[in-house]
Amino acid sequence: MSTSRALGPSSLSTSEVTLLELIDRLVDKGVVLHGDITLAVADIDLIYVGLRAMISSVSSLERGE
Amino acid sequence: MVYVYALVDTHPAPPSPQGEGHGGAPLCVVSRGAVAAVCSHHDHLELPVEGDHLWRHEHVAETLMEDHAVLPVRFGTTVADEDALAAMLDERQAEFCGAFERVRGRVEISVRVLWTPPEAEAEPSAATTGPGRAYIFSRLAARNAAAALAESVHCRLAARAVEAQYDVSATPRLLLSAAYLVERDGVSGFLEAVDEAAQRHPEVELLCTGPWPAHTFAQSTVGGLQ
Repeated sequence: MSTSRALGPSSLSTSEVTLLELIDRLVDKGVVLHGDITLAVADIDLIYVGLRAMISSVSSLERGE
Repeated sequence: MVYVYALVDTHPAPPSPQGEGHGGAPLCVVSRGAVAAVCSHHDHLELPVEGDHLWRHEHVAETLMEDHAVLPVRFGTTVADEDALAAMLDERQAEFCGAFERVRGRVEISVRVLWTPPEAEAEPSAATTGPGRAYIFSRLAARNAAAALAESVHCRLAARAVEAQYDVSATPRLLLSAAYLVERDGVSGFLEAVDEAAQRHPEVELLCTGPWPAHTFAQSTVGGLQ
């Protein structure tokens, strides 16, 4: 149901964008119950690291690297 | 242990989830009053943050939202057993019912605006007042223009949404990072506005994904965002 529409350079991977958005939503958002989180990963910095990596790769693609 | 995927309203009918949860486990429902939790039972569960597991979790919410108000639950949430889960649902009935009304008939659309700062002018070679100040002011002007652009894009989109949560300039390149809660029948109009913004501003990249279940708006405003 979730359609990723990456507007802009066609070199951008829409599936990569959607996956990053999915990680951001599932790991950092949603209802928090007072249970346990089975993962150690719940750090917003990780999401920004992922997004920065994507931004860097977009820059590389634009420069033709 | 019980793994929880989403909370769903039980009116007009309780959910009958189709499909499977993690590791092929059948989906089950724990209902208390107006709130039902969709979950699965596991003796042991290893859940790395990988695409397959994330999509399995997400798929549960996306299928249910066809017919129900859905509050996605954070990935990786487990509780000891059904009794513990039932107690949590009892404790927070009013909060969850309020959240159902907030998201009912609505979807979430994500928009991010990426910007490449203009090529830096040559660094001022000497500590002269003229070229140094011009350099700094031109950088500031570019930055201010970019921030104004982000606000302008956000305002146009927010006008077509019920609610918005947004962050401006989280990183030097990420001018706008936003989630919009949009009425289902307003989605095509909203996406047209996104297209229009992209065409009006070829100097930036707009990344738009969705529609999603209301992950961002499922969290209670009481107690604030985690």
